[in-house]
Parts: sequence; C-alpha cells; structure tokens
Amino acid sequence: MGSAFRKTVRKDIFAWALMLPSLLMFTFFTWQPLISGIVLSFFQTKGYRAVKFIGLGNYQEIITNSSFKAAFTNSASYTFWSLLIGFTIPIIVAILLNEIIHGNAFFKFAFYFPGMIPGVATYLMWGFMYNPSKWGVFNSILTGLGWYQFGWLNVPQFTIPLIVVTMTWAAFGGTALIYMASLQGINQELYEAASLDGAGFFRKVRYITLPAMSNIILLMLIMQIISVFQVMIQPLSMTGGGPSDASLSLMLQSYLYAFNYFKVGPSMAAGVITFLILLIPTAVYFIITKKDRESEV
Amino acid sequence: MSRFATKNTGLLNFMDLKNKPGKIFYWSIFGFMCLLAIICLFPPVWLFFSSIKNVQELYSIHPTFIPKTFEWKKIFFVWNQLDFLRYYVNSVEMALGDIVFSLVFNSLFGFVLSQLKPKGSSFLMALLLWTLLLPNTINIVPVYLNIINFPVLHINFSNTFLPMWFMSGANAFFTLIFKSFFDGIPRSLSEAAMLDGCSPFKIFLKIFLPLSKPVMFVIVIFTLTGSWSNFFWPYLVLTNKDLYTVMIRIFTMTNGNLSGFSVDYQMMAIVYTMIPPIIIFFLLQKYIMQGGLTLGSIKG
Repeated sequence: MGSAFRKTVRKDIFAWALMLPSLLMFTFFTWQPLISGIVLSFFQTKGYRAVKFIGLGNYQEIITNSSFKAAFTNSASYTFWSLLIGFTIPIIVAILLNEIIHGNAFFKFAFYFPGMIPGVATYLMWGFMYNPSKWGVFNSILTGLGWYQFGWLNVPQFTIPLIVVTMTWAAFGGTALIYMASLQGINQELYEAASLDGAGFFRKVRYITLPAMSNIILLMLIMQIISVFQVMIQPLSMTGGGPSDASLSLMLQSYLYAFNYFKVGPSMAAGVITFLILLIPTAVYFIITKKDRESEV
Repeated sequence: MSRFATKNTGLLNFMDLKNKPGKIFYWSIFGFMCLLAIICLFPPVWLFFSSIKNVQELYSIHPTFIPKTFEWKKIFFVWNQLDFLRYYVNSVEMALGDIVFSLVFNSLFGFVLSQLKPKGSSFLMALLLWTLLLPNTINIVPVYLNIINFPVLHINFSNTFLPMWFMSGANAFFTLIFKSFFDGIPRSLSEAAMLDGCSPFKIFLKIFLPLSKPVMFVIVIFTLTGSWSNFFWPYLVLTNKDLYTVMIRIFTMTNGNLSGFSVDYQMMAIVYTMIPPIIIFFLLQKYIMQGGLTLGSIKG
C-alpha cells in the first residue's frame, strides 16, 4: 500500500513537472493578468504602477467621459451592422453554393481566399480602396460613371458600416464553409418528399434547410457578437478611431487610455466593463454547448 | 448540362433542373457566385496594379484599372529601398519560434491531461475551457507589464520575440486539440509500452508524437499563417526598428503619413506581406480549408 501510494505520488510529480513550463506560460500570460487587471481597475495609477486604492473612481472617470459614451454606442453599432451584413451573408452563400455543381471547388477557394490575407494588410488595403481621393477604388468607379467623389470612411455615418464590410469580406468564406459542412448532414429524403408535395425552393429553405442549421447558426451568432463587440485593430489601422470618435470602440478606447494617454486605471475599468457585458453572451454560449456536450454522451 | 441529370441531392434536384425556370434559377445563382468570387479576388489584384503603375498614372484624372504602365523594376526598387528583406527575416524568425513553442508545449500539456491525468487535472481542464471562453478584454495591460518586467525574474522581454513565443506555448485551443486527439489513441498501445518499461515521456515521444503527425501538420500551418499576420503584440513589444516584423512595418509606414513614402510604395509594401500566405494557400488549400473547418467546429 505504502509503496503504491508513493508510486502514484511520484508519477503525479513527474506529470506536473512535464506541465510546469506550460503552466508558467499560462499563468503569466493569461491567468494572473486577468486577475491583476481587475485589481488595477480599482487603483489610481501612475505610469504603469498602482498608487492608491480609489474604489470605483476609474469607473466614474470613464463613464462621465464623452468619448466613452461614443465608444460604447459605437461598439454596439459595430455589432448591429455585423449582424446585419456579416451574419447573414455566410448563411446565404452556404445554402446557394451547396447547390452549385459547376466550379464548386473554385468558388470555395475564392471565398476562403480573403481570409488568408493577413488582417492588418486587409484593413490597410481596404483603407486605400475607401480613399477619398480619385484613385480609391470606389471613387474611381463613381467618377468613371460620371458621379461625384465620396468621402467614404471620412463620412461619420458610414465609417462603421464600411469597416464592417471589410471585416465581412475577410471572414465570410471561412464561416460559409462551416455552414456548408452542417448542410451535409441533412437527410435528402426530406427534400424529395417536400418536392413531391410541391414545395418550392424557398419553402424548402425555410422548413428544411434553416431548421437543420439552427444549432450552428445560434453558436455562430453568439460567437460573432462576442468577437465584434471587442473590435479594436480594425479601427486602429483604418481610421485610428476617427473621424472625431465616429469609429472609436470600447477596446480601442481601452488601448488608447493605456498606451497613448498612459492612464492604466481607466483603461482597465473600460476593459472590465466590456468584460462584464460580454459575460452574458459567454454564459449563454457555455450553457448551449454544455447541453450539446451532454447530449453527445 | 448532363451533370444536372445526376444531381439528386440538395434543394434543387434533377427534376427541378429539367425545366427552363429551374435552369434560369440555377444559372442566376451561379452568376451571383461568380460576382462574389470577383469581389473576393479583386482587391489584392487592384492593390498590385495600383502599386506597379506609374505614379502619374495612379494620380491621373481618369483612373485606370488595368495599368497602361507596368514598372516592373519598382518591385525590386521598393523592396531594397524599404530594406524589406530584414522584416521578412524577422517575421520568419518569429514564426519559427512560435511553431516550436506551439508544438512542444501544447502537445506536452495535452498529453499530460489526456494520459497521465495527475491529481488536479480535471480542475486544469475546466480552467482551460474557461480560458478559451472568457473574453480577452482585461489582459492587454497586465500582460504588457509582465513583459517589460517579468515577475520574480525582473527581466525586460521587450524587443525580443520571447513574449510571442511564450504566448504560442500557452494556447488553450491547441492544447485541447492535442488532448482530444490523444484521447482517441487506443489505451492498449500505451499500456503495452508501459509493461515494456517505457517511461511516460518515452511513450509520448515514441508513440503519441508520431501518431499525431496530421494534427501537428495542421497546427504548424495555422501557427505559421497566424504568426505571419500577428500584429498587435509584436507592435507593442518590438519597438526597435531593426526587429520590426512585416506587419509592424506596413502599419507604421501607412499610419499618420510620417513615413514620407508615396502611396504606391505603401501599397507595394502591403503586397509583399500578402505573397507568402497566398503561396501557402495555393499549395495547401485542401489542408487549410479542411483544417479551418475542423478547428472551427471543435471551437464551436
């Protein structure tokens, strides 16, 4: 008994030793920063150092800041536009491409292609395409048709939707492929039966295809809300948050507080607020996938 | 059109495609797909054409899509002018380290969680799942503080690739992928090796790693492309211009117009950064699309 116990202890120590480097990296680059970030949000900071506990002072400072209000509504606006544009397009593309038997592989290649281009390169490229000068793609089309030049990203009402168009261009192909995989599982006899009953294309989509996709659609919806609400690098590289805060997001605001204004406390407070908002969809996601995990067993 | 006759799956089957409205419907969907494909492939082509045409032509009153002037030597001239080779080398160096760290540490962690299961490993599993799920909105500043003044050791890791490598070594997603792959390897294999007196580490090296080549291949591709396009942390960590990666270079030269480089130079630089991933995609498209699917579905 004693030696067997010692043996498992020795085995456990060996196992923990194998994990030790991984655990150290996770600790210092994921776990400890999460906690110390929350702690920092309650402190007055000088440079990067915590000086004095001030309770909710940082929160008060950012909530009363007009830029923060803009950032908050903008983050919601990014999410709204990405649900309108970015969420529906992959679903439509997946359903339609699944019917195409000519050049199917080429279309998959072409739709996935934008996703291979590095993010920053994509955003900078689209920034050039939206350029308000004559040589920007969209303006060269407009002036080619004999119309006037347009400001594109410089027009505050259009800034966020245009950034969302860029994000959609980059990501819709990968998402469409995931939806297409889910279409493979549909029982073909359902379509045949529906055809015999005289159901047309759209009725079949409505009553067979979409219900079959509903699980994955729901998961992608939640994941998209979570990721778009945290948008930061896109406005950072395309507009810098401008024109006059029109594309400033919560995370960009948090970034600017920390690395441009060197006010770490308010930066962390903005991060914590975003975190708390996103806990709701995260919890929903967790509950749904948990049900999935249990039903699989 | 004979292909229609054998199409017996999907929303439109050979019955629907026999008559004229069905065919028109099919080909209009096809046309829509062609349009989308053009939208997907067009922007990089436009960027390349704009960067290679004569500057006067770029700025002319009547913009051209297909350039009248091709200044091919600009490709080499701008490359040398910007000293782009250095940024390529830096990016490759960072990517290689990312790949090594990602393969070694995530697989080891996954192996321990899947096979050795020491006391506390179920807690670690839960922790990893939460790490994957929780939004990453609070970490940036504290991680940055750890980088410029590493806890306990008090080392400043800025202007080294190590912070990015460490983050690759601590990838909850890849760890869980390795773990679930190792779970699928028959226990009898490791038990037989155990009876032969193999140590767990030897079992990992001799049995589990060779069997997981397909997973490792996918992880290498995704780490490589992810590392090449990694911008945010390198941008914060690498402030010395000699260490810039390609992404930092194009970001700093296009932002704020401080660089003084003309637009065609900036566009050309962006084109340079797109070429390696595009080549990789052409060569490995099957694996990448399949891998994106499996990785995506495991996440989902």
